Amino acid sequence: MSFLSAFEIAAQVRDGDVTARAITEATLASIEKRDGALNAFTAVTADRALAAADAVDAARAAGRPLGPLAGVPFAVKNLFDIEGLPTLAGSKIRRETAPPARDATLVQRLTVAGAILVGALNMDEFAYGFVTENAHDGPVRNPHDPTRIAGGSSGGSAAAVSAGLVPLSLGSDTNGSIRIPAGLCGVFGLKPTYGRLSRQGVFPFVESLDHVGPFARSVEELALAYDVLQGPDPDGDAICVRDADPLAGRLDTLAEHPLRVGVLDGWFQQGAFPEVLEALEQVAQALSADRSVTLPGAQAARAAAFCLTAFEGGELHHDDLAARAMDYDPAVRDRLLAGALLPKGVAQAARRYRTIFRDQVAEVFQRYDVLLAPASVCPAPPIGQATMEMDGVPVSVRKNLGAFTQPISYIGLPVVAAPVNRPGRLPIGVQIIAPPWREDLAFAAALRLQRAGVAAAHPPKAFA
Amino acid sequence: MALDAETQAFLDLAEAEIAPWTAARAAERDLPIPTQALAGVIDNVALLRAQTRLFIDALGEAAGQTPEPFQP
Repeated sequence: MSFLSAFEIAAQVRDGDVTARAITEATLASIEKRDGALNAFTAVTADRALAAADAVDAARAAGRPLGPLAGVPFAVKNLFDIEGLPTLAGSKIRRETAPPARDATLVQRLTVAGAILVGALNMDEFAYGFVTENAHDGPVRNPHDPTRIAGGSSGGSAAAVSAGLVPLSLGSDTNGSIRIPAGLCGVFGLKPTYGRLSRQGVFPFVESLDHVGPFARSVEELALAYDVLQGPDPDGDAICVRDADPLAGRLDTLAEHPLRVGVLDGWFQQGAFPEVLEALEQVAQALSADRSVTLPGAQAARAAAFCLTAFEGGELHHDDLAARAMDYDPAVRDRLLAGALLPKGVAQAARRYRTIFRDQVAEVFQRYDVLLAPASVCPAPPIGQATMEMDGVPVSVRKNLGAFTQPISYIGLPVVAAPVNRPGRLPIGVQIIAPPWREDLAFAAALRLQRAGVAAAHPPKAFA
Repeated sequence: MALDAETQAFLDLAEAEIAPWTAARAAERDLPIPTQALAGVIDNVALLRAQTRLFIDALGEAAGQTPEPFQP
């Protein structure tokens, strides 16, 4: 049951081969049995899940149409509002807050499509980190090697999908928090265009940079979830006004079209481990990408994203930091406090550079459909490792795993993070970066890689 | 257009000035820094200053300009 796809589950439920209740009970039992080794879940919503499953079964029995995700279990990073459950955002200080009265928009959309919410997932406190070594809830362990991190900040979301506990999950990505854990846990993740998917009911981190998106074990499942999640939500999230642009029915054709693919070099390869560059080369060859592309402003863009994050995060948390700083995760607290001290002019300049870098990259996209870059500097580091070497210089893991992702989210480009097919070795992910609002191109390239056997999400040995 | 004085002063801090700047700025922002956090905050301020310099340099003359509304 564990590694059934969302398509298989929904088809079996629709055909009456299995009930949604049976799927849900098996999922809950699997979480109970296996999550102890991962620490991906911070809450399991068993009663709600079983009630929702019964509603799906009742709808089928009554002959009512079922949604495309009928009976498909999913879970969400614990910064998504879940009715009746405090929205922790990985923190201690929000444990006593009143539970929200309704689900986040994206949770509602998955539920309307028939999916069954089974729980909330571990993350870096307030999404500020790339490691998910949460001081309050403990680290999420990588399903491919439990001595290593799952990446972050959506570590629970990636690990739960990778280990087969759920076929779909949701996470958020401000600087790389979907792409990095997807890569380190060996699953697919989508960071859509800034403004594409609604953030209503998602605890904010950096309003200017926050994105949300799904994780899955195949491109087709990622696309299915994406289609369900799309659509405007201007009352809930002012930047989410774009009409849906569904992939259903056109992904196959897109994947067969020629694609102009470039490989980002310079900043995007600097300090990368040899196996990361080897994986990137494997992907580049499969997509016939024989040209390197330099974005001269990438390092400055990364720096601007880094400072804008600290500034806006610091502003958001100012009052709580003033009152309860010692209740924060120390690694997050010190960064937020420093950010809260920054002059406003730093944020203004970081915002000013954003449009300049966006225009530089738009120029490059005149010549390319997608660009490739590693998702992270290295495969998953061991839990507890504070520093790593980049170009021979020791740097903080927590602050630098996102060196290759930050410039891209800074300008809101859509990215599919694809796991490179490396059976028996630690997963490595590649970013497939598309022009704004052209998620379809990133999906097409990812599907082509999957069909060529170059991208694949392998069940981890311990969970297969 | 030049940077505002506050931002310019932050960029111009010498290494030895970061700790006193942090304390003064925390008082100005009404944000007490717990003793246990102080060293970590100072490290982070130093890192942020170095990172700020990177994109201010890249901006050149545009550094002090009002940002345009962002659309991807």
